[in-house]
Amino acid sequence: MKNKLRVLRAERDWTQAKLAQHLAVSRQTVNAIETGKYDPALPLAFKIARLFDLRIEDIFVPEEV
Amino acid sequence: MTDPQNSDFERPTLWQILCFSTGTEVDRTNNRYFTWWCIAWALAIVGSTWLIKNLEGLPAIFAWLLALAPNLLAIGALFSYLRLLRMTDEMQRRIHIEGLAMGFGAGWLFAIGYLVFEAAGAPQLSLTGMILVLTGGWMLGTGLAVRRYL
Repeated sequence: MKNKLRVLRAERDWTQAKLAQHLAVSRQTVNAIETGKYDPALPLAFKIARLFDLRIEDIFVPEEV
Repeated sequence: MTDPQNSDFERPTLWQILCFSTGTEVDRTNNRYFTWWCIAWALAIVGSTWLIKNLEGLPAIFAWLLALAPNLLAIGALFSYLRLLRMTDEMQRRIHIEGLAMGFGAGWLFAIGYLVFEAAGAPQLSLTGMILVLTGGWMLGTGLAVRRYL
C-alpha cells in the first residue's frame, strides 16, 4: 500500500514525533507507515484521514492501482 | 519544511522494543507498572523460597501460603503486561504478538520434537531448558518483527 503521509506531514511542517503525538502512536509507527512497511488498521487510517481532513483513499492507495 | 526523508530516524534496538521504551507516554507509564510487578514477583520468589527453607517448624499451611504469594504477584504482572499490550499502538502490539507467537510456537514444537530425542536416549527435558527455548523464541520473534516493520 502506498501512502501520502510523508508529503502531508511535510506540508504542515510537522516532525514524525509531532504527527505521532496527534495520532497517539509511537514515532516508530509513523515511520513504518510512511516507509510502507506497515499498513494501519481502519481505526488508525480513519484517524489519519480526519487529522488531515481527507478521505482514506486520498491518503492510501493500493499498489496495483 | 520538515525534512521529508527523516534521515535522523534510527531503528530502535530489540531491547528498547522489548521494554516499550520507544512507545508513547502511556506505554512508558504502563511499562513502569509492569516492571514494578515483576520486581515484586522476583523478590517474592527469593523471599518465599528463603523463608520456606530456613524457617524450621513452619506449619505446612504457612509454607503453602508462602509458596502461593509469588504466584499472586505473577498474576498481577501478567495482567499489567496485558494492559500494556492492549494500550500500546497497533504496530507495537503486532510486533509483540508476533514475538509471543514465535516464543510459544518454538516452545511447543521444541517440546514435542524433543520427545523423539528422549526416546532416542537424550536426557529428560528440564524446566530451565524449556524456559530458555520459550525466551529465545520470544526474543527471536520480536527481533524478526522489528526488522520487518522498522
